[in-house]
Amino acid sequence: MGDNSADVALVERVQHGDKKAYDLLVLKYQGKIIKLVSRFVRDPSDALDVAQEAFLKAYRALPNFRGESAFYTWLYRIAINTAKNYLATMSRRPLEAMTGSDEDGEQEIEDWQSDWETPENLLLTEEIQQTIARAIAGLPEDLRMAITLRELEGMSYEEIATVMACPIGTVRSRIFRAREAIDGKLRPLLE
Amino acid sequence: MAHDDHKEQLSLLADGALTPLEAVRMVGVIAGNDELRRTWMRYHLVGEVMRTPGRIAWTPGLAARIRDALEREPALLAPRPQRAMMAQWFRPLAGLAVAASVAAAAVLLLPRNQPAVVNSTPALASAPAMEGNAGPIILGAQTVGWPGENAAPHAATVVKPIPRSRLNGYLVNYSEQRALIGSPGVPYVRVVGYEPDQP
Repeated sequence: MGDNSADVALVERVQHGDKKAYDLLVLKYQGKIIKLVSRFVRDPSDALDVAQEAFLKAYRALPNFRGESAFYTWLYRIAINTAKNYLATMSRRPLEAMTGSDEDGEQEIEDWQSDWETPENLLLTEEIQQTIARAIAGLPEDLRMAITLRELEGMSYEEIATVMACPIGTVRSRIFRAREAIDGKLRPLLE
Repeated sequence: MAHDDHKEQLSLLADGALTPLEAVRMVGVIAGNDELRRTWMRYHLVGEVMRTPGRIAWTPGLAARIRDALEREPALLAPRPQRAMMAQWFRPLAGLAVAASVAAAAVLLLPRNQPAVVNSTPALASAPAMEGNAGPIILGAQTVGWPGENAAPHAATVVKPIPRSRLNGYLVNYSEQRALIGSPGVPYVRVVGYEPDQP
């Protein structure tokens, strides 16, 4: 089992002209790409522009994507290059270069975080996190364990079945029920 | 309205637990269903929050912006088969198909063109193969075939003439083995010697 198979199917559909399939890739990876770009681009509005540009560049380049690496690895490289190009154009120093153990670098990251963490953003993201945490805490033990092993430990269904000493079909069902239970709490918040 | 069946399939897709064909089919279903699309996004958001507590980038407007921008982009109509990925499961099947074809051909051809004496006489069975061909043998301009066969046009293109000395060796071996095991031989083949023209 590989998480990659969904990406393979999505990429294949996009390569056959299905734009909606690309939307699913964007929905899946937007959070990761924004966080990645934000390591280079301080301003949240600029970071959104760069992330958007990275996704569009990737879309235009998809006919040349041959699946030799995972889609996310490929997208990651495009996003990094887009962010660096943006900084070169704007003659800015990449924020990433300042990360590390020195206190000045840490301070810069904290400043960047404060750029993103407007009161509205803070409130919403905290609410999302708390809602998810409460929903997970309220799950029956078997569902909580299944979803935790899958999402946190990244285990395959086969591995989870071994750890939980149950059939794979049961693992599938538990993970789905856990997701549905969490989603039931999260949905009203986001819609 | 999204059915639970679809949502369960969506959960499996998110975990990469569908077969390639199922995944392609499910992607088509999600892409055409707004509710499933939003569920897809929330499932991934939950996973991300669980993996990276304390800091998430919640940017609900980004996907919509990209969707709008994509409307102005031409659709990609240059499909490139993902050979590397397809080959992972397709290549073994192709190999299996070839192996099955070869086995089927062997089953169909062997009983017809190889008399039973081959199996019962080790000396003949271990004799050098005749270029791996079970068709008629060509000697110079003459063709010796199985009764009722008219395969000369095909045989002429695939069978090399066998040297006279080697053919004589086969005939001698065959006669000796037949005498040892008391086999009457193949009833419809006359055993003949082959000698160059004598003055």
